[in-house]
Amino acid sequence: MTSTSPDSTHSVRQAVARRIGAAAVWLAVWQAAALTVDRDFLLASPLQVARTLITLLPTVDFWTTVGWSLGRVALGFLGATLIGAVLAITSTAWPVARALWDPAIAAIRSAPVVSFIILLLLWTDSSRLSIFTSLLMVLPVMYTNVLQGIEHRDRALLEAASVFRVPFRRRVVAIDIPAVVPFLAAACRVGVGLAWKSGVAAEVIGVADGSIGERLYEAKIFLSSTDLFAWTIVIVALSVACERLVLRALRTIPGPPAGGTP
Amino acid sequence: MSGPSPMRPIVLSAVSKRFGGNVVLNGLRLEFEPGTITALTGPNGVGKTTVARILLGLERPDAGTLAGLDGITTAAVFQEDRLCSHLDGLANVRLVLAHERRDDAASELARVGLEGGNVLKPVSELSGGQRRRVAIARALAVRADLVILDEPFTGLDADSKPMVMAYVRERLEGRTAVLITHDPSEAEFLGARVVRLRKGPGLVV
Repeated sequence: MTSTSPDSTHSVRQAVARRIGAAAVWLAVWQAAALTVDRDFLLASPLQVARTLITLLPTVDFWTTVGWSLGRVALGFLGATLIGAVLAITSTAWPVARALWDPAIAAIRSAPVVSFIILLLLWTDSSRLSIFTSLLMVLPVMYTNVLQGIEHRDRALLEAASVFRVPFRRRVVAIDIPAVVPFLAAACRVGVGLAWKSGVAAEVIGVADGSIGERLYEAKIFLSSTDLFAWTIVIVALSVACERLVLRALRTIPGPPAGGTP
Repeated sequence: MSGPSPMRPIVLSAVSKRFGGNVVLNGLRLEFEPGTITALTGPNGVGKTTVARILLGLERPDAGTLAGLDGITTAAVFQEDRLCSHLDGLANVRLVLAHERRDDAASELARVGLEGGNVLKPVSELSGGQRRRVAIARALAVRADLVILDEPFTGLDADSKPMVMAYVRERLEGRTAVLITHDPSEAEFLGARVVRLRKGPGLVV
């Protein structure tokens, strides 16, 4: 049974109060700026954005749009995680593989996202654009972190496993995966946001039919900052929710805390 | 329960090992008879742990030959506990046991005084002495041909040390083992042949 001391309850309340206070300050600044500008199409007020969100939320169209983008960004993110892990494992196993992957990953990391989006538009239709863009943007983060996790495995434990001839599967579960999970969690924290940013950017440029990016594009065409802010808030909320979901899933893996700093 | 001992003696002939400019072993010759315990003693830095690591296949000598090590199974209590800190004591012992013997882990831990809730706590939550006992139970639960014990009783409290030493003596009966220790009474208790390593070529028995 766990118990919470009055001190810890007090400090949690203080932290919550600080967050609410900070949010209230920024909302007040936003509202003041909107009143000063006094042009809806340039800067909508928080109240207008809230009204738009309330109007959007119960509609089927809103959830279809969210589902469309969420599915593609998630596919890109999961693809990057899988491919990044496989590339990192092969890099650890074979120096030749590392010599091959490292420059390619460095190039992907440094190249502007727009270059990829335009190139991908030449190769594929706009409906798949956000999948590949998210994948390419997240891949270097996943590859680098998983590789670091593998390299930071406890050598003393690996030696012990070899002395005791611990079977490969048991070793992977007991030693390898717990060593990599904190690094993977750090990559996920960065990667989820990156996947959403690059994925939605690709949707805007490709004007992908039925996507959040298309809604943002329409907001630009119709000079509606209210819609722009409303959909941006939706993207931020989706990104935060995805990040929490992924980190919660990682915490179910036995080992050092997945939320901890590697 | 005594494990199988290798039929052939383990022989290190003219073995040398250096780390950078530091010569740790220089033409060492050592023989380990099957079914016996050998205690390696000597001052710090004389190469006791290096000998153990060579026997475990964790280091290759720069020169010399090894005989009797091919195909043998090994177990060890390292100087450090080398346990999976997120796993409990039971899981740490089960990790190294053959599938059909994994149920023996609890009884091995009980023999070193770890029972009940203690065996189900992550080892990171155990005391240093309790972790040491898990490491000892892990090494001796395995039916290995060669058991290495590198200062195994370090960190044990005065209450548990006699019990653990008695357990080790029982489990090592008839097995080939190498004990590294600075304490002659430990070697004597286990009935070990004492080999004193010294700096430079050769050794003193």
